[in-house]
This record gives sequence, C-alpha cells and structure tokens, in this order.
Amino acid sequence: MNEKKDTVGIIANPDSGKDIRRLVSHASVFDNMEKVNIAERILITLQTFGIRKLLVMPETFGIVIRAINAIRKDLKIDIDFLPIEVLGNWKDTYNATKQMKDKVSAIIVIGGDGTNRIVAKACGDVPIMPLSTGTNNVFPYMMEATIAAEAVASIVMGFTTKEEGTYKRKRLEIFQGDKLKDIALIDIAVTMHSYVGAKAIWKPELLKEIVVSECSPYSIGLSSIAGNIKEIKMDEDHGFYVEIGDGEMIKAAIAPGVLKEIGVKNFRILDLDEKVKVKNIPSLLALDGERELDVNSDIYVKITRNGPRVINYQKTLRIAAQRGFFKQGNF
Amino acid sequence: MIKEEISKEKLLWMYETMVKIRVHEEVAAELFAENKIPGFVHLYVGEEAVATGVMANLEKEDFVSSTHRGHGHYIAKGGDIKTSMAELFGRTTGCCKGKGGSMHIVDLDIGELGANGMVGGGIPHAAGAALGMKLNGLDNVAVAFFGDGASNQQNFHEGINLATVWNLPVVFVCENNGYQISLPYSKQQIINSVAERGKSYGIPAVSIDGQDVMAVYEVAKEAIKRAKNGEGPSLIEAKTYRFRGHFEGDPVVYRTKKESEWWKENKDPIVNFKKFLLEKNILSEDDCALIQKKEEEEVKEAVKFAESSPWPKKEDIVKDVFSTSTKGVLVWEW
Repeated sequence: MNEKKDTVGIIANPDSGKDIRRLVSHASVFDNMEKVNIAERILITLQTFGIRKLLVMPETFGIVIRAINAIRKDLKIDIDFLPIEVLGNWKDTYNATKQMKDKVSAIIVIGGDGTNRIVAKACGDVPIMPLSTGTNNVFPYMMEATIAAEAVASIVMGFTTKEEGTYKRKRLEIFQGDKLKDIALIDIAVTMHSYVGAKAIWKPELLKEIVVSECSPYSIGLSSIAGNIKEIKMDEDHGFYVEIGDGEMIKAAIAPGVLKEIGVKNFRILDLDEKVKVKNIPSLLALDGERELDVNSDIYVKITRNGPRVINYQKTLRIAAQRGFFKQGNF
Repeated sequence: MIKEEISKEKLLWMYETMVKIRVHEEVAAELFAENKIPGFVHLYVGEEAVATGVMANLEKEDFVSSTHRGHGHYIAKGGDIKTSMAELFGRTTGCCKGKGGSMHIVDLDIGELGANGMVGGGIPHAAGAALGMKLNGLDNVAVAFFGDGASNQQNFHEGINLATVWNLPVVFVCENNGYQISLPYSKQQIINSVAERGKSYGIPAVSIDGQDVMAVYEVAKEAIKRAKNGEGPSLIEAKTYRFRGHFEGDPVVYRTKKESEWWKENKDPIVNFKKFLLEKNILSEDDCALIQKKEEEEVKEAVKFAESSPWPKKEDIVKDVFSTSTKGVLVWEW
C-alpha cells in the first residue's frame, strides 16, 4: 500500500474568526469548539470511507486532539502530529504545510482566506479542501464538513482522479524587480494605511487600488468592489483592476453588514501574467483583506495560474457517486 | 503620501510611556531585591503595549480599573510616578499614604480607580463607573483591565453580564499573559481565547496581539468609540506575556527558559515598536537614547522622592481606612 495514497493532512487554524471585524462590522466570533466539531465530522467521515492515516498540524488549541478525544472509542484511523515547533503564528501553518505536502494526498484546511494564503505558499500541487471558518472569505468553501471530507476521501481513494476533481486556482504575485515578494489568492488592495495594526480593512477612504484574481457580485470583502463592476470567475484566465477615486459610486459589501459607497476612477480586465504597476507609493498592501506589506519602491502585481489545486467537491462527488463510492462495501 | 491616521505626538507619547513603564518596573525589581519595597510586587514588564495602546485613546475623565499588576495602567493613565513610588515604599507621600502598597496604586483625579489585590475585583468597579457615567449623562467610558485567570471569576461574569444588560459604556480588556499565577492558560479554560466568552453575552469580542501596541491602539479605539456612541460594552483579549515571574521572587518553575527567551527575543513590545518608529522615520536612534535617559532620570527622581519621604505614624494606622464621606452609609467608628 502506498502510504501517501490513503493519508490526508489537516491544517486547522485556532486563531481565525476573532479579529477586529467583530468590532467594526457585524461579524461574529467563530469559536474553536465549533472547529473541534468540524474536525470530528471530518475524522468520522474520512475513516468511514477508508482513509487510514492523518497527518495533523499541531497548534496552540488542539482542535484535532480535542476531536480525537471526543470520539476516541470509535476511532480507528492512525493519526500523527507533525514534529514542528508550535509558535502560535502563521509560521505554524507554513511549516506544517511544507512538511506534509510530500506525505499526503490531500490537505483539508480549516480557516479563512488568510490561512489558505499561507497554505498556498507551501502546498505545491497537493489538492486542498478549504473550509471557511474566518470572516469575509471568498477562497474557502462555506459548507458542511462531512461533505467536504467525503470529497477528499473520494479523491484520495481514487474514485475520482485528481485531474477530474480538482482545478488550479489563480493567484496574485507581487514582484519587486524579479523578486517574488509575496502572494495573495483573491485580492490585493493598495491602501494609505500607515501601519499594519489590527490588519483588517474597513475604511474605503484609505483604499487606492485593488487587483483581484476573481470577483463577483455575490462575494463579500474587498473583491466585491470589483465584482460589482464585472464578474471574473475562477476558471477565467483573467483578473480585474480597479482604481479608487473620483468617479461612479459603487456600493459594496466590504465586510459582513458593512456596505460602503466607493468611487471608481478606473477599471480594466487583466490578462494572466500581465504586469500591473502599483501607482501609489509609498503605500501599504493588504493581501486577501489583511494589511501586510509596506511598499516604498516600484512594485508590480501579476495574476497567474500558480495558485493551489483545489478540490471541486460537487464535481468530485458526482463522479464518485457514479463509480459506486457510496455503495455498501466501499466503506 | 501615507495618510496620517495617528499623530506623531501620539506615537511619541506611546513610545515614551512604554519606556517609562519598563524603566519603572525594572527599577522596582531592583529595589524589591534590595528589600526597600515591602510586601509584594507584580511587575508589568513585557505587557507595556496593552496599557499604552488602550490609554492612548482615553481622556482624563475616562475611568480605568486595574489589577494586582497595576503599575503600567497607572503610569499610562497619567499617574505621577513620585506618588506611586512613594506608595511602593510605604511612605506618607504615596497615593494611599503608604498604607496600600503596590496592589493599591490609585488616583481618582486621573480616572484611575485603583489597582486591586482581588483577582477580577476591578471589573465590577469599571462597570459601576460606567453606570455612573450613563446615569449622569456623561459621554465617557470605563475600561476594566484584568487577567486570563480573572475571566474565570464570578466578578467577570457578573460585571460583563450587567454591563451588557444595562448597555454600559465599558470596555473589558483581558490581558491574557498565558498564566494564571503558575497555571498555564490551556489548563484553566477549555477555549483558546477569552474573546470567545464575549459571544455568550452577545457583545463584540476580539482577540489581538497584545505585544503590538498599534494593534492594541486600533482595536481599543474602535471599542471605546463604540462605547461612547452608546453601543454598549465590548471585550478585547490582548494576548501578552510577562517577562518576569508572577511576583518578584517567583522561581518561575512552571515555564521553560526557552519559552520566555523566545518571547523576549521576538515579541518585546518596546523593541518592536522602536523598530516601527525608526522605519517610519518618526524617531532616530539618538531620539530613542534620549527618551531612555529621560525616563531613567524621572524614575531616579521618583525613587529619591520616595526614599526621602516620611514613614506613616503609628497613630495614623486606622485613618483613611474607611470612607466617611458617603451620605447614608454606616461608617465604622474606631
């Protein structure tokens, strides 16, 4: 038995869902016991469909440990925790992803856009199943964990092939000269914030430019500004650029319950690999909605197809069902 | 041009305040080791960003209630370190005339309701102050500082519950330094963030990096604005770390040296804030050295003042212990 074949990785972020947006918008706290419940449903489902081994990121709360404890007597799956030093910050996610990518057939990510951005930096071509627990998320699915785990199991157990059940997402790459400085998955906002502070963005008056890899009128967050002008789907080889300023006013849901009117000075569709030079320097870039990067010299952004490979759970399960994945005897 | 979200003066005040607290506490540690300070002292070294980031948003008329680790709150609220140092020394020039010591640093004139030896004891005080503000039609705010251990106490639950029911202008700031005396946070609570408790009371709750003064400043600003707008209480959990033991003399056997060294090397709030100010060209290395020197001199003066102040007299021992000014309250007569 190829050990990697029936091994699944789990990255669960204990810190998502508690940032300043609880104060400045109408977002609610996403508590960690709910993440434990999600992990329980994942463990039971993966085990039911024949997954034999899990590799888990250790973290400060112990989401998966608590899930194991809750269902211990029914659990037969072999679970290992990665030997990383837990720092309690984004490096845990990065280090865990880097270590697990050659040992697993898929990674389940329990977190928001921010967590997935870090996973995307290190997961290579391993399929990921992003489950939303944060705020303002566009990248991960807001869905029932049981169904997500079924989709993962059907890919890992070979009922649906990776080629059939996954697709490469786009990503936004930030370059200074030829050097890749950082990435984002959904949006990069050029802001006039003077410090990183509480990270989130909720003041449109400080926004200058937005570059998105995908956007729609039914998304929330900064990408909704672009999405309310033009929809760019995840499978389209395009992105979108918006310059904020004097121009037509657009209403956008930039955070839960926060609708702002934003002036659009300019916009255009971007091609893959087209370089967009940041006009406002100095500035502070928000990556997937979080202030991250001080910019003091020329910098440009381009959209590529180098994003993570994401499981399309609907297509995956449709194919799996046709091939007998849910028939008795297969679990 | 970067938009001015915070004035240079405010940033300088924040840096100076953090340095002042650090110097004050390090000197207090030395004095305690030399047996010059009686009783217990619980020092705020490592947690300076929390008090500073919150107080940067407060006015003199706003109230704060503090904890047993209260020197930092007092200093950041604008307390005179001569009277606080004299109180630590037990001298008559201290803010409690030398009878309270470190755990009773107080100055009502600057809105400091006092440090408190009772864990979580300040929470209902702040809620009460907020009730007074509301009843008197004032648009001020009260802030309750407390630790992670205090959030297990009834004071926390009662205070936050009533503040919510009465929609009071109060901000609850939990300084989660990871240890309830010697008990790690993970062994006190099943949740990983005190912020999750806000959900039970239906109030906004945020968890932030308490070592990042700008993050504390920004979150506190929004919470205070919300309270002053009549939108009610909120809860902030500032994840922080005390660089020294729970109290001076604590052998600190409950955590590894590696752990505390990591925090000191990577998460020193003053080092990190200084780096930010240097990068933004708000301060130079020379400016920082001058501030350090100035705060050291000020603390030295405070120590000199305290040491030269008189001890309380025996006959004054029961004076000022009970209030006599509250109308209608039975006052014990000695």
